[in-house]
Amino acid sequence: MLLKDFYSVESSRQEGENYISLIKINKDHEIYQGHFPRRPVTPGVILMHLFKEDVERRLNISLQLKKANNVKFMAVVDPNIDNELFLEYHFEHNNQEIRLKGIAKTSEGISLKINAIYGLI
Amino acid sequence: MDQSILKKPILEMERILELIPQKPPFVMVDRLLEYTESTGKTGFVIPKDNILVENAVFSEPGLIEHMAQSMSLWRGYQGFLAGLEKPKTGFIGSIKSVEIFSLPKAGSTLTTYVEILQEFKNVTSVGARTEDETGKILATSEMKTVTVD
Repeated sequence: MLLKDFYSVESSRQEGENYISLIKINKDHEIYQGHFPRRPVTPGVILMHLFKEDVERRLNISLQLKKANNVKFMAVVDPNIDNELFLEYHFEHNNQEIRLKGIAKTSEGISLKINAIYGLI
Repeated sequence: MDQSILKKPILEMERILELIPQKPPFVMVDRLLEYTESTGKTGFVIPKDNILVENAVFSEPGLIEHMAQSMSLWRGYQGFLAGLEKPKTGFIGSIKSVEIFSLPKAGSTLTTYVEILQEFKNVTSVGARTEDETGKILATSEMKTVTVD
């Protein structure tokens, strides 16, 4: 994991072609001291990165983000309001890359939509 | 292109921290080299112990956040010129596209060019390009940032 002690994976399952993981964010993590003082907002780039790490864990591979398109941050993820996040995604996989489409949501609704291409490294 | 309004680059971290809403340990830009009404040139020497460094490499979130904070720094200086006392909080609203060609090593220096494509109310569209010391392009992006406060 890129950020030490930032989150834990509470559950992880597959339904047909869809992968669903429940992530629990550590609301006391030091990134919230800087992003932002007195207004904790989970950085969008960190939310995006959760998908990469989740696929890496499932397939036991290493990836590098090559491209992302139409990534939409629909709602702020403030861990003091809700620190449980569902990642739901599906992907296509060949020898060189993974193309993923996914959403992240809290009990409040969708917080992020992502389309990403990762290279296998 | 217009000439930079900056008489000299802003290199002091203390000054940079007055211009961006992000604070340590989540600061991914450390200098403003040029500023015009619609463009900016920024830089960052990636600390080896930066929170977004993994295995001595600056990660994808680090690189994307650096581009976003470069925009933040541009906006912060714009606010400073307009007489604002402190920078407005701003974050990424959407990423139209981002492409990462390679990841820089910790310790290396990034140079980033931002261009303001459109501003409407509190939403700004910005294009960014990040290069390494040799001028090799590491990443490009087009994103929208949202300011609040």
